[in-house]
Amino acid sequence: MDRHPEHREPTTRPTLGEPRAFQSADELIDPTVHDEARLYENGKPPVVGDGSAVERRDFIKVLGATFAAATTTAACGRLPVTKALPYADKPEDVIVGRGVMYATTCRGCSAGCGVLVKSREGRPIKVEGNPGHKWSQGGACAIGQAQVVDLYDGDRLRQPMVDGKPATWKEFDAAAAAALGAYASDGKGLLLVTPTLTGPAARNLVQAFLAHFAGSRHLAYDGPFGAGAITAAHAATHGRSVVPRYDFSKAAYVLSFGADFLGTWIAPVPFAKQWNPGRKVSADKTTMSKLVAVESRLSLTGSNADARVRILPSEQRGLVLALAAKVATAKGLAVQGPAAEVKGDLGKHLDGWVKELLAAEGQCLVVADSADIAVQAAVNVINEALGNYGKTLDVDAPFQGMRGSAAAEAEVVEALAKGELTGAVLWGVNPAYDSRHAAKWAEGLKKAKVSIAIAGRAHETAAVCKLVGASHHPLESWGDHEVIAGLAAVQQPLVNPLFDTRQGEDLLLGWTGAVDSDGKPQTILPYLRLQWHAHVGPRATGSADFDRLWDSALNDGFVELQLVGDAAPLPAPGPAPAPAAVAPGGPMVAQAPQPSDEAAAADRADKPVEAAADASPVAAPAEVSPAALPADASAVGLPAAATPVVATFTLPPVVPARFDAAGATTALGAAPPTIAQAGALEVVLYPKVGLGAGDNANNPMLQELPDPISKATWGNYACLSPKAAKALGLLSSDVVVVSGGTAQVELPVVLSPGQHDGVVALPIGYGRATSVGRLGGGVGKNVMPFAALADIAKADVKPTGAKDPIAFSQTHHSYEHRDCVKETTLAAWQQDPTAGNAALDSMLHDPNAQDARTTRTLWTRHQYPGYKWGMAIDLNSCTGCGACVVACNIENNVPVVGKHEVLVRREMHWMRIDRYFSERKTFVQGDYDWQPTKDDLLDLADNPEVVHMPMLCQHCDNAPCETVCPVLATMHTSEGLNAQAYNRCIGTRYCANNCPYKVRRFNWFNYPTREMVDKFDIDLVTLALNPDIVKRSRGVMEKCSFCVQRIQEAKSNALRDADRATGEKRQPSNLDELQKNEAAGGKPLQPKYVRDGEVKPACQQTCPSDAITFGDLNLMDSKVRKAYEDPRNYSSLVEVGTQPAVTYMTKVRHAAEVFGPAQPAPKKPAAHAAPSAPVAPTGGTAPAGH
Amino acid sequence: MSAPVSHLRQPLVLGNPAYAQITNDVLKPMESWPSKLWWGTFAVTASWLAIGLGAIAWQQYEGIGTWGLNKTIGWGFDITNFVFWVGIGHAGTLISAILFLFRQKWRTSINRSAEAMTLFAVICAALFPLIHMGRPWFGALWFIPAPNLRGPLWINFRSPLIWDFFAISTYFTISAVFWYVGLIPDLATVRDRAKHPIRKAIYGALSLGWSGANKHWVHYETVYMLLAGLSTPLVLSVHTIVSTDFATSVIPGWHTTIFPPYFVAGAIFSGFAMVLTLLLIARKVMHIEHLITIKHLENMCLIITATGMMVGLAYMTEFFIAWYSGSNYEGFCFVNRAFGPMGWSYWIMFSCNVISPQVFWFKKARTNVVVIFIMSIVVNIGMWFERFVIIVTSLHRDYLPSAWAMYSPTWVEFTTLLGTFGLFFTAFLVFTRVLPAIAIAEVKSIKKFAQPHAHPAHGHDEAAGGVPGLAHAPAAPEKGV
Repeated sequence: MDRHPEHREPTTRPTLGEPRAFQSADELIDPTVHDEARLYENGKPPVVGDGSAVERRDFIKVLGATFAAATTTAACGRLPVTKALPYADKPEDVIVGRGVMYATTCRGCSAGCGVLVKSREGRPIKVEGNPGHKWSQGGACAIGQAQVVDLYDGDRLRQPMVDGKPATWKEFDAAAAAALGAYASDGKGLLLVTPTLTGPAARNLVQAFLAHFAGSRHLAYDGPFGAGAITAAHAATHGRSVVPRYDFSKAAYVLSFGADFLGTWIAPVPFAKQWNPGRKVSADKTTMSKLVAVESRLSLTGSNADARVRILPSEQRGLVLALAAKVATAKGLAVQGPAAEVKGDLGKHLDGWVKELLAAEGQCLVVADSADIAVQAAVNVINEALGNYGKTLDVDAPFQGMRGSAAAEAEVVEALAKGELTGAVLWGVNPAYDSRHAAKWAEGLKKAKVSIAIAGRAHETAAVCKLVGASHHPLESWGDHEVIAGLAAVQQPLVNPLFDTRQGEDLLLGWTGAVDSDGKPQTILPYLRLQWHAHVGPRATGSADFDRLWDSALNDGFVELQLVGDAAPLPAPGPAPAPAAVAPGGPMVAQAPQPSDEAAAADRADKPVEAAADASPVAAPAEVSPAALPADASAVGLPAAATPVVATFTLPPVVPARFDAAGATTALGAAPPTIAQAGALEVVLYPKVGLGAGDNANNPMLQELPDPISKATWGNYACLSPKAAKALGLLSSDVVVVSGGTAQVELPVVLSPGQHDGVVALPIGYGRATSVGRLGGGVGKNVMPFAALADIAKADVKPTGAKDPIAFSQTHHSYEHRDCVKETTLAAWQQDPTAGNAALDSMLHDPNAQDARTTRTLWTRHQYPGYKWGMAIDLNSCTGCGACVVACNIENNVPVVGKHEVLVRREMHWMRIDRYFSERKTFVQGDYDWQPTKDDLLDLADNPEVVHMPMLCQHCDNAPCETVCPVLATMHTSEGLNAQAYNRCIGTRYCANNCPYKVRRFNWFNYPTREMVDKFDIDLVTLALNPDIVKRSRGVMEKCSFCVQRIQEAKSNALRDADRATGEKRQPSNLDELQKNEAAGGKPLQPKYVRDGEVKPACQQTCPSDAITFGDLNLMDSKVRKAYEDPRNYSSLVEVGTQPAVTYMTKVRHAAEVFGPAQPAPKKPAAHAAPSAPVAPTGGTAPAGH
Repeated sequence: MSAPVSHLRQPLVLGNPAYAQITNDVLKPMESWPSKLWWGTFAVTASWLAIGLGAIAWQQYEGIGTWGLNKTIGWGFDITNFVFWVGIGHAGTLISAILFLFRQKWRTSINRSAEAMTLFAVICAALFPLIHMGRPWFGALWFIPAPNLRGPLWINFRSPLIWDFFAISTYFTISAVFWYVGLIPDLATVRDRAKHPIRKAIYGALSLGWSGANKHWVHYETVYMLLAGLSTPLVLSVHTIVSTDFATSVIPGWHTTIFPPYFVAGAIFSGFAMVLTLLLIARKVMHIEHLITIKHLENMCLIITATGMMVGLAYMTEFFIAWYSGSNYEGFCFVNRAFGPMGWSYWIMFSCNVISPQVFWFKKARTNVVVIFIMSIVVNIGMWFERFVIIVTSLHRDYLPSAWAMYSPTWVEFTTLLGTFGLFFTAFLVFTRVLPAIAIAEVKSIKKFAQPHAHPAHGHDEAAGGVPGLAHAPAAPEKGV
């Protein structure tokens, strides 16, 4: 059976002297040309048979084929004709079959990550993190990845609506003009509600709107979990009404009070990118940052914490205030907060935290998710006392993506409900569903004379508005963002609008009557360019040539800007002062200090900012005044005559914010949160990692993405701690009634280890109106009414006796001390780099093998003459966020199967994240069947340690699947891939049975099918498919391919680039590297070799925490090979002998009692020759969650 | 009668019927209109078959997803049923070939039905590998090592599924030939007694011109002996190879070297039980209690007890080795098998297969037709569960706890199983109408008078041929009666 090319000895290359056939003139000069091309692909050219012209067996094959061909020709009729037409007029930058990446900004949430979107023949098909982006650093989360699926959702609004009925734009325009005209005679004031807008153009558009409709007000609405308390607290303590720019990369110690910064809080992807490097340990870096989470439910961040403390939501204020008092006292900060009441025995943790925080002064970060201004002020006091400002968090160049204020919202919704406002225009927000005041919003909007929603879907708010302007999807839209002060980003459309929709900006521009120089209505692109010319250009640090600046912004996705004045360059949203300032607004424009509709505190804080802006010498350059511009849209709005060079001028210096002790003292005394009286359990409402606040409810990829902690899909549930559930006699999937005051909801229960016993946690974002979409509408229950009860709602939980099965993707939570997960403590690892990584590996390994990880075997190994692809996954880095799962799904056209199919355990995900509740500390010998309610383990379930383990095809060298396939549908390639030939697969499923990792997925039906098929517009959905990957039919096995399409693309790029770059010499550009590799003991490799890092599978590309390393193990200095040689590296289930190409790195935690890396290592292992300098002196006893 | 009668051995044919009587008794069902009982039974089994065909049509139309399988448990009822039916198919060859070679004369009255049963069981079994495939329309072709244009893409000789394909197809072919060769003298008898020309023509063609000539008998005996010899290793090979479907895998609970003998023992165990189920009905319905005697039944009961204890030993050996290996995975697999969430299936298997056959230690039990009948059903339930236990409990909790899952079969799987019982019994019922259900010639050979030393004066021809040429020399043996 030695008939596969990889078993052949390499063919010797003919020398010049030998007579040989040649295929091109090139070969006469360099005979290796064609050999290389061929060798490149397969390692070596295939040789079949013994070299004689036709081998016996081949003869039979050919004979058979002839018969088959004859039969086919005779028997088959004509195939149905499908047309594939070439471009009649091919766009310049489109090469059919090759993807083009465009940089844009993700609008999946307010974090503003930079992304590259892959477009194939004009269709966006994949979102990738933009590696050059200064804020998100190449990561993208699950929601961001799933945006392309949203784009092709047929349930988006396809045309505007007037009075609840579909209408034409003509009708809509007429109705809108009438409504807004009626407003002019009424004149009480219009309310414009948007998410926080950060781009100069977007903000100035709002100013223009406010100026046009005098007396109007603007509300920045950040959804149910804004950061209003953080801005208010900073206004009080630092005189800046901002959310700071947190920098977890500089924090050696993070104390989080409920802030799920790795999951859903503010900007999870940038935070994960920042936090992760501190968590990596290696021979060069023997210390690790520490994370302590104090929270009510087990969040994604809590699951990654070294220590966790469970508290009730009502206990948070006292605890944080007490900590602030202690830290302030310790550092002599004169802040007088109210006496803090620390409940229960929580006070025992305080001294430990203080010690640890003091040990990491200036290198720590305290964050909280609280909506209580006093808590946030206390957090600021702590950070200030420890000198963290300017180091781990920055208010001078702040995060600007969340500027909304809960107080302002409460005020305007009241005004709207009372009829004090004529009406409202809601653009890109859905407060009638996801606000705490949802009912009031709906009521007020119904009453209002003017109610216009600019929305992508017929959501709950659109349903109560008289007019609904159907807006583009973000991937069809232009826009600009400056989420981080000093980083202006462009959002550019990837595709022409699929439906009869308009961009929100265009509607607003139309209503404000903006015209270009021809008197035609202004549109977004010229407007955007004008605004950038006026407000971005002057601040750009690089080129002064605007066209070049604009091009580079489009190319890179962002431009770096200088900061303006001492402020967050955001003007306070408020009525614009004068029409003259309207068009070129922006950070440089003077803002009249008029009363804002923001919270009073925020307003006060803004004023000095504005004053500084007032003083700024900057004015809009005269030549960009709209009136002076001939607006030729095709020339992108710039006059031919006008010079595209932007004006240069001196920017005012940045004045750092200063701590205001008096303001802090006042803020610490802010009114405590209201607590509902009825009910035994405190309610925690939280957004799920995949679904957010529900905007993505109709996205099947996200509905089917298992929650990182509960592993549940499709629908929400009531989380109870195992002990609380036991007290009520409940198990998972038992339906309960959660009732508190006016809010009542029936939900199935999920037993959630790690949750406080006095808490019921409810995921928001479900129970959407059916008009939102066929997939997500009606899935789960809306729990927002609980938010309306009080700041801290309470509820009773009563069993109903009914069952509502929850579709879990994983139902067993312990890894049973099996050799799939390995973990250790930092202290143990510092003593011994192989700690936790049992000696089994070395016992099984062949000491004589060239590859250190090769297991002993009697048999001839596979040969890997060219590439040998491998992957290493650092369990220390993986946070379990699930971004890789969605990235893989979209890259590889993995079908969504629906709730029923998940219930019967048939989800198709090629990549899954196994979440185990670790038993590192507690293990009951012989108890293999841990159910969380079992008495002896209930205590463990109180506060378990968590391991997230990405599991995908391990591409075993000794693959059990390969031997059992009767038809060779799954085979080993010469590059170490375990390849699956879908066309050959007949579906015996033996390979899946024989896979110890259970990573193979069978197409039980032609997906999408059954419950899903009527919920898609299949023609649209198929546009999102990656054309590089075939869609698998029913009855076929599939699995991770290591993104073989990307490998092939990289190889072909390497081949082409090498040819281009090296010109006549035909010297591969990376020859040096290859020679070096050989010198280092590596195999002789073919030229035109793919460099390390040039292939990134979708999972690795998107990973916000850089947990995945992929590359070629034959390259001696490839990152993955280095990872393989790390003492923490291990193969999952090594004793099965499968020799996986995917390996893992032992998870390292801080032991509860240790913080501070300055543990003297008595036995210093060689791998730790150069331990880095200690970050902090040894801390005292750390608070342990256990 | 002066025939010597052993005081130790019971005669294999009771009542000492005349040779003609034997022919008449055996062929009576073929030569008369079926009774109401037959029609009633046929209606029931045929409707099972129809239901099963409907279920198969549905699952082929809709997809294998209509079954209760999932990403963790890739095989369930399908392969359970496959192994179960293959096992049933074992007794046929064992009774026909091995007992023939060992000169176990008592086999003669049951071998024909046992062989028919084998064929029908193998057909039922072969159905499952075919329909369980995701794409049987390709699978049926690609299992065959046929020439193709796909270069080195051939069949995978390392895959036990390929071995299975060869083992089962060989077994079926040899069994069918063996059965048919054994039928030839009887077919000639039917032909000779046929009155309708079409009937005569059909059986004439099927009997290949058999004339009962001495030469025919000599050839026949030789071929039969050779085929018996050929079949014998198949008894061991088929289930050995079926067991390698599991034994060559890496899954704890499958990866077990004891599987080949254990599977063969289990197959014989279940095969005999199924033969008993069928024959107990057949001898009652066809009134051939004198041909299939209590002695036959008792012998089979003893074999059941013996093989039952063998599988019991295998079960316990598995447990011992799982513990002795020290492997966490093996140990867990077997603890989980007996005490995990699907432990109920293990205890059904254990009590049916190991505990209940012990009842046959009592002669009263193994000579009581009702007890035997119940036991034969019990054993088959147990053996079905044995395969279920091996397949499902091993898969549902293997290496990675994150993938652990449960299996709940759907109505499609139950009705498909019912359909195969329908196919099996319907085929058997039809068989009893169109072919002699008992080997007439062979039964005659074990009558006392057929023995060379029983009646020296008239024994030559019988001694020479072993069996009289019934069609043409019916009178000669009659003299002795």
